[in-house]
Amino acid sequence: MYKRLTPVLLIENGRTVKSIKFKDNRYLGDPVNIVRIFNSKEVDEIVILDISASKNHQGPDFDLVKSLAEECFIPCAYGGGIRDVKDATRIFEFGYDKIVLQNSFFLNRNILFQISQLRGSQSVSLSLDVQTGEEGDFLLYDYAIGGPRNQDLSEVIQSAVELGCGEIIINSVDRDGCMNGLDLNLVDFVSRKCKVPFTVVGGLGTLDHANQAIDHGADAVGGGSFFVYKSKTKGILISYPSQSLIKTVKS
Amino acid sequence: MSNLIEIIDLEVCNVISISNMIENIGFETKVVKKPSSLELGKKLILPGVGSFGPAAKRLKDLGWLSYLKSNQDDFSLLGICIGMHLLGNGSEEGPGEGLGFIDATVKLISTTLSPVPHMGWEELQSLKSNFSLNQVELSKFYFSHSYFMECENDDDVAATFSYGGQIFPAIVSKENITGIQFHPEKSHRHGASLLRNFAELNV
Repeated sequence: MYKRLTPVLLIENGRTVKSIKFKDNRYLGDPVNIVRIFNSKEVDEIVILDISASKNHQGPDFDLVKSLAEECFIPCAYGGGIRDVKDATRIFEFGYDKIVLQNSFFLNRNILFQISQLRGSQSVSLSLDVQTGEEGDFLLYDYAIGGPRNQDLSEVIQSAVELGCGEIIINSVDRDGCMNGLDLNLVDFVSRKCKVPFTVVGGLGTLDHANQAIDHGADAVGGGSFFVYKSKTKGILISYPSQSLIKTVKS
Repeated sequence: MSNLIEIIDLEVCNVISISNMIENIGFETKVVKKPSSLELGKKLILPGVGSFGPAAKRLKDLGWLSYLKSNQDDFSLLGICIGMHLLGNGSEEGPGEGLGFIDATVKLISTTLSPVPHMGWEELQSLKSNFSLNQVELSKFYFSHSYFMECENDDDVAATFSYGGQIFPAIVSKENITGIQFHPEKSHRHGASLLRNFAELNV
């Protein structure tokens, strides 16, 4: 079994951006073009997240989401602004393999159950943004309002899995864009709580970082900066490790 | 036109990814919803994502079950994922009848070593020659499923993969019927080569 190394692409108002600690979004380029490049590099999968849709109280930008799917001959997931099963169904019809939920799940957890019933649990992921508290505890963060969610991470994971969630995507707010390594304490924590595969995102800066997270139990490692910046000087260059390197992430 | 690939649309999953990829490698596709809409009926793909029960129901209700069973010698059929499962007799996942082309039952993957659903890339082990793997690198194919096909006859298994310490069929084949557990339409150039082999079959 190969572990997955996953570029996570953030879309804000139709533009691809990269954040640092969920702030200071920097414009990277045209999303269709960037997805086309990732596809040509034969990435393991791609996760596309529209971070402005829910914040702006809008649904998905269906035209854009559709044109991105047309560039993908690899597994692709989409999240952002999905309000109900109808939205999700349209996204699947474009050819996406997975729907990623966050805000709508917290508004009505049943949406996850409904999508899972319709398309199978492998088709629905839950994305959770997590901050580290003062005592090293993990707190759910609401990116739309920029504050805590006041819900318990363990309980949320367990409930999501019971409702049919096929995968958890866990994002470390504190590590986002820092390229200083994944939060291995967080990986350990989720690994103990989560019975379905999980992807850890936030802090990926080297392939060693990915391997460390895999060793701690992650099923997949996602990243942003690692795939879009040339080096720490942050010149924009889309890249992906060659096949032979990815084999080092083999379990 | 003899290479026209007709994709059976059971309306339980998206067929667009498959037709996108086949057209991208230069072959013509047509999406067909019922047997009477078939143009040539020579090269058929039965795709599937989702759950066995609803797919089996659509297979029957749309007339495909009886059509495919009674015209079995006239076409090459490629079943993908749930489409592969429909080639067997039935499934633990839900009610309904399969096509019975492969003597097999679909069962839930049971392992404590790895998570289920199984999502990710696997290497294949080839057990017997099959057109689909002709000149295809076995290195990486994308899987996304919780159920697998348990075959009564080992001879029907063309390739396997291992997961959670167990070995499962990746490709089943019997005469003109082939089923694949993974998603060639999501397995970039490896999947493209496999679909090209199907498109170039002489039927």
